[in-house]
Amino acid sequence: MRQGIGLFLLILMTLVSTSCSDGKSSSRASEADVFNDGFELVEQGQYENAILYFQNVYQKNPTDNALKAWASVYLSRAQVKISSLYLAFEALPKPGKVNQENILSLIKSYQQALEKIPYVQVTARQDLEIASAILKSRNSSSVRLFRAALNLVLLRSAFSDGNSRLMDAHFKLDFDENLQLICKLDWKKLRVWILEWTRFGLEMKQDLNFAFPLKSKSWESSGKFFTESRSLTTSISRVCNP
Amino acid sequence: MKSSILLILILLINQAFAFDIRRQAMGDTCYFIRQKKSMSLCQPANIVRDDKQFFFGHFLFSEDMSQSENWRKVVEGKATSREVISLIEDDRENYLSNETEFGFVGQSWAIRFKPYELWVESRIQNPAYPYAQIDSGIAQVIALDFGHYLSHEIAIGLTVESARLETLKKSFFIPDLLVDEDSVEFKPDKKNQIVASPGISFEPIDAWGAARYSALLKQSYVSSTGILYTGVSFENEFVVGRLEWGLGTKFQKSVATKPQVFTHYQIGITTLTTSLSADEQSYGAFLELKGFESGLSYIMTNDQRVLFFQLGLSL
Repeated sequence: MRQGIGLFLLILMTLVSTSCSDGKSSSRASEADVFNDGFELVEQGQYENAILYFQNVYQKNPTDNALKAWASVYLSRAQVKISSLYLAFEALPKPGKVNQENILSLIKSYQQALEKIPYVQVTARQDLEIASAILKSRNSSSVRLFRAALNLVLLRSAFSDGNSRLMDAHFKLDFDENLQLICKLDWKKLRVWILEWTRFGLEMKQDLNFAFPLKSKSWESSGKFFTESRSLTTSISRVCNP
Repeated sequence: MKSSILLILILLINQAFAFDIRRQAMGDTCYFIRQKKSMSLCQPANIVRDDKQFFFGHFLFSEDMSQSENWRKVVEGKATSREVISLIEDDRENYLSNETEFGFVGQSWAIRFKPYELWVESRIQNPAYPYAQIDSGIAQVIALDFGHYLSHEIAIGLTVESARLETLKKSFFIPDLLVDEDSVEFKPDKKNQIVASPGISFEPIDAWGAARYSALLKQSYVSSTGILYTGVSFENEFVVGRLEWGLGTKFQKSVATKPQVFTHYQIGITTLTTSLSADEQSYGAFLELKGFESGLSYIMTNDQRVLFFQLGLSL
């Protein structure tokens, strides 16, 4: 038996030494391995630590994905999920004819289209603005798509904070008469409101054009809608504050 | 009651043994026990310790088989971004695998052929902006096993497996797939892999009746990440049934070592197995009657719950 043990140990040692001699294994962690640790911090609700973690990851290796991971922590903190939001881009209304005469009606109808998109409270919106600012560091299609999604959420939230009296108003066909009606409302607030959400809308359109250059025509009418809405603020100022 | 002690040392080199689904279905128990011949193919040295000669065929699959064909397209690089999204979007964790194997086991050798094997593991993290990880592959494997007595106590064995692998390992933010078809490239990595697994089994008769020690080294010639299994086990024979049980430990680079307890109880045509560690628990129940085998095993890890079904026939 002693001879058997000796032989067994000898063969075992050979197997161990064979296993140890092959030392080509890579010690470099993959992107997924690096991200896993950060995502776990997010899952545990340690947002500050996760922000620092991904900031560090990005500084060490500035890639699109590291930037997106970093920015996404702010979304988590704001309790926003962009899982199927991209479908919302396609659901955005594509008004056929956009002009100053019908813009007020279009603004009213726009509200319904935005209802599918999550609303974010004003306090949490700051996180989305920070995420959007972070994403400005890089200019690739995937990063711009992320920014477009953020701008869509910001647009929806800013839009929903709007003047409910405007939404309740029954506009007439005559544009000038409608402007007179608006002057009786809190038109200064209304003007700020329009400028706010159209800013996000126009940024979103630029981001989408960059992310989907071949589909830029799809967003053309939406873009015109935001531009015309913005022009409306000039008309409001002119009529209400001559 | 007859008792014996087993010390099992198993060395596995390489993480690219994903095509070893049988091991996954039984947890690590497959390497730690020496029960019946079809299972003992995990340790080639055990081939000579059983006189039976037989042809066999078995089919092993995890519970969610409905998406097999779609996943096959993904691994082969033929799926569109939309198809990939539809497969991974609904589940945060996804595990799927199946294998078919045929072979002949002789007194001191065996030949096995796996015409098709598929495995998929996908995971989605970061719900705020979903990040997906896919680890998948398709393999065809031909294996030869040899066993030989060095003395009446020591048997050695060697398994040589030649695998044709198509693997796809990818991690990406899901919305990126929408930007354009090429934003995340799904191209399989094709390679041939040879794995040689020398093993040794030592059964000194005069220590505790029938003590057994064994070791197995699995060595791939493609990658070199290593896993080292060590274990000690005991065997008790009762009036009703026979129990093998023990403690094993797995060592792997950059992964915390967690010991596991395993048991393997055979009574009549039924075999029950368990393998328990901090990060993986597996439970199995197998029936064998007149050459027909069937089995169910359930694996739980920190991330997954997988139910495996096994059907086999030996002649």
